[in-house]
Amino acid sequence: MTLHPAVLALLASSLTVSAMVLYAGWYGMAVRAKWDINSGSEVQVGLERRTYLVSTILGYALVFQLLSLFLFIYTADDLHKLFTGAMCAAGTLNVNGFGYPVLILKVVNFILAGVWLIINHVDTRGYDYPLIRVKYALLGLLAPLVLLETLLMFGFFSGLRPDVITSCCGSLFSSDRPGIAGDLASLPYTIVRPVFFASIAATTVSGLLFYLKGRGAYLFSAVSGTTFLVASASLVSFICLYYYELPTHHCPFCILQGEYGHAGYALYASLLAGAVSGAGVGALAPFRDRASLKAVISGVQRRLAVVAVVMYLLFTALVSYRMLVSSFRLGGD
Amino acid sequence: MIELTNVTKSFNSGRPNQFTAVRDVSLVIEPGRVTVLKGPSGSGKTTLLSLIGCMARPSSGRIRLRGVRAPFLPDGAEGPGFDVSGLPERFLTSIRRETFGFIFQQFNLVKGITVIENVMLPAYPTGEGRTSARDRVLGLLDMFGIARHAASRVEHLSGGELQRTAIARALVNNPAAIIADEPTAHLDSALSIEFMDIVGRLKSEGKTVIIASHDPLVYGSGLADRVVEMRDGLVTDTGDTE
Repeated sequence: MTLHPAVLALLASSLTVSAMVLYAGWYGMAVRAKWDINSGSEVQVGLERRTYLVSTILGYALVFQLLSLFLFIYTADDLHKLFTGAMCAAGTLNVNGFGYPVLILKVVNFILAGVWLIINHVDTRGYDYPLIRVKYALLGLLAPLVLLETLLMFGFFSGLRPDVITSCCGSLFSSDRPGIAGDLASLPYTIVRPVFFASIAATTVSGLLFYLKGRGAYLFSAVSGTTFLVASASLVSFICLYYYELPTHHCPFCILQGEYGHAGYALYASLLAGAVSGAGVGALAPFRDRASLKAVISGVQRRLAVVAVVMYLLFTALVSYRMLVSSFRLGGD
Repeated sequence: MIELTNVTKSFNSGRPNQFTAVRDVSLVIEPGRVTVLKGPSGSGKTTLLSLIGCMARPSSGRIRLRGVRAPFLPDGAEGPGFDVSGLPERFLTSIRRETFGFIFQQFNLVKGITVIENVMLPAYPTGEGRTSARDRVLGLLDMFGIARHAASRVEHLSGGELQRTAIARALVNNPAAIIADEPTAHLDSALSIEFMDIVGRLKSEGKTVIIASHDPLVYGSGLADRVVEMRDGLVTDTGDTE
């Protein structure tokens, strides 16, 4: 195992978050089995007293879960110097079979943890614990994924052997390479670019309509989720080309490096924040008629819609700025 | 109206030194009346008061408030009342601050600051403007005959003036209910009678008053609409003197 400070920090934090999620998940099972707000039993009163503490601690743990995604990609990027053939995080993640599954799990868990935090935030604003079953049901989905992520992360870091010759990002994200990375790299920019800007426009319009009218939460959430996928594919397909000013370099990780002003962190942060906020709007929609949340939920949804739209527009502004100032032109445009 | 249903309060639950201070108490406290909890030391009066006043939570059982307009309730929801024993802390704070006024055995006034500053303390978290709160406090001090001491530090007050300052502080947020824990324990008979006179004024204004006391001047004063007797954490008599 590589005893890099960031590796130790990631492993320690993953263990802490896993322990907390495990405890909260076990507590959540008790809540789901025994919760009865109309009962004054010792069990019910005890659950009510403890849920505030469990939710608060879990909230902090999941905030760290969000931040750890960025620490993970920073670490993967920083460790590439140890491996022959690696030029960035793409090579490090390819050193063994755990790297990319960990990354994908971290992204999935980022979104789920973000949605959980949104639901928890709303639940604590209702006087009768209106979403307590929902948030612990979601935790029941999140907890195994966080535990799996921790296991895979241990597998990944413990299997980082410096004598392994790995592939560089130019090879992994080559349009000739079979697989998802190659397929994304070979997507035609003539199609992906207009689809990307159209999806951003659709998100903005549906977000504004939701903000003004208070209707179309599911539509906005679905459009926002689609935009996240389209923008992610666009990053590999054509956006990163403007940063590298090379027509064949599709790596989504090199843009994290200082050579490109660490632009990748701003791009990924804005994209993920947009995705979580957009998902939150839809996740809250089924509960807007709960009596104790009527005055709360629409305001939270509206703020989330604004955040999602602003984050996607920030992403678009960063991309557009780079497209305008870059000396690179696709297809002579 | 305050409705207690099978309320039990235990300390150190599940440990060898577990102690149950209040056992299975069911009680309805009517609004606008004076209710006295009577019983010897250790009978659970103070614990029951702290549960009613939302300063502690029961180990089991429910406490409901009816006829109280809480800011977090949706329109029309106040009809059946709401359960305060299960409220999350953020909501409990506003209930404690705006529904109940507390008078403690030792008065618990803050030394080193003036009478007016002491009385204004519970008004600060409500966000009310300082000028209007100050005007209201001066009105209360005037009503209790201690306006001339407004700028005096509390350590310079006599026992009776301390008592009236504590009562004024309990009333500063215009609560629906006043909770007093052994308010006459450290007062002589004259001051105890004066205290009960003030209780009579509060009752005539429609306030609900709940007093824990084993002082005959309190439960035998004739002002008490109901004397609830307690022993060993149990309600032994829910008597009504009317």
